[in-house]
Amino acid sequence: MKIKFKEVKEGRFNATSSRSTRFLGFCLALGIPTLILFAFVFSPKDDTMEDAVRLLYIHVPVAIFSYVAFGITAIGSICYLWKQSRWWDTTAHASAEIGVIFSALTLITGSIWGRPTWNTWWEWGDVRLVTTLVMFLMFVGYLALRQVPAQPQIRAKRAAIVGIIGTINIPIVNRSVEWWENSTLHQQSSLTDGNLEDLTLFTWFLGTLILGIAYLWLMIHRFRVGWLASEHEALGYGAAIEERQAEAGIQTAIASEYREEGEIE
Amino acid sequence: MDKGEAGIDLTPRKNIRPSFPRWIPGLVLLAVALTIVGLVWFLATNSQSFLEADQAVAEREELGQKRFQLLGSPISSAGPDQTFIIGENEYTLFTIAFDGVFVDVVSRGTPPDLFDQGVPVVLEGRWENGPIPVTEYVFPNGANDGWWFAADRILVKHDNDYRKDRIDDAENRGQPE
Repeated sequence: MKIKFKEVKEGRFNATSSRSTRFLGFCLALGIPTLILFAFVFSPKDDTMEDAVRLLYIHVPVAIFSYVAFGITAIGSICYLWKQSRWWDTTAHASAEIGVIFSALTLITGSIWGRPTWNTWWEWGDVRLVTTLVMFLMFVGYLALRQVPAQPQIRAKRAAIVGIIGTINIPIVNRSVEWWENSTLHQQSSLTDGNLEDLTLFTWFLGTLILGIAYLWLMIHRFRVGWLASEHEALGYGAAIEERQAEAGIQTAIASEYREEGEIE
Repeated sequence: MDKGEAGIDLTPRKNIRPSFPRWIPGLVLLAVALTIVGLVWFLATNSQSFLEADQAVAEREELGQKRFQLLGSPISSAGPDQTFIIGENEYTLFTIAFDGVFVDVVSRGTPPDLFDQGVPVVLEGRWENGPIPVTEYVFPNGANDGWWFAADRILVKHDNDYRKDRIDDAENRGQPE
């Protein structure tokens, strides 16, 4: 993807949208009201939890896609360290940002679910809750580290290391309800145990599908924004070098190319 | 001073960007390391928070007056005949079971909405031995052995079954094997 220096400079570059993202956006525009209808109108109440069960249709999918997002961050981080590719670094960064949002939503919806169900908003000794919080904080740290000024390669390398370390916690979070079943109020998986049926199961699948599309849609947009930002940064370095070289009267191939295209004077 | 071909100064300029402490990345990495150590410590020390009723009965002497979390399922829901007001406190009396072992409970406060027969609960409190606050009360189908659990907090450990025809067995439902 090549972008024009003038377009970036003048803020006219608007390329995060494409046919595929518009299609995904359209699916979301249809899917979200459909999910709301199924979650709040068509699906039945639970015999004991009553209406609190409806949070299942958002809480579980956002939790799943926070794992997916941090998993993609780990893959991007490993590939960055291996290939030194800006594409992988941008992918890891974009996915971590979405993962942090999804993870925060997981904690918030879980807490709201916990009050009527467990009789508590939060338990500090609960293994599932605390490991999820640690996962969230690790990736907040990852994002904070990316804000520390440094050369792009150094920044990406540091972030990749933290991204990989943070991901080690994901299987612990996910398996904690089985490994430490007497240290958490959190239930085990309903899906793998076959404890969802009929409209409850369908609505859960619908929620997972819609949140999956939302993740993909956000991911593509955030990746493109990140790519533009890194292009702009690279262009900034390039322009600064060009300026210095121009002062020294040195003509380079890059400068010639930009001059031919009328992007720099 | 380095003079280029055009005779101008090519000495690198001083960095005019605002300085940022070099130790910040190290601090972040240290925080990550401490988080990992803290997580490992937490997992190691919290591997068995809830004592199942049968285990709590077996370890009654060692536990003494120590406060702990007790896991079991109520063998009945909390009806009006199990609730008593003594002084300013409301007490609910019920029995929980786990793996065939029964524990009588005197709980201060109102039970949560989801408190029901067969729905596993985690009770916070300690063992007591002797007369209960409601002296003439006999726990229906309870242990009635002079030991009782004085609870001041009830948490509900809801199971993962959302089927309509779920088994509603007081002793087995939702309990860890």
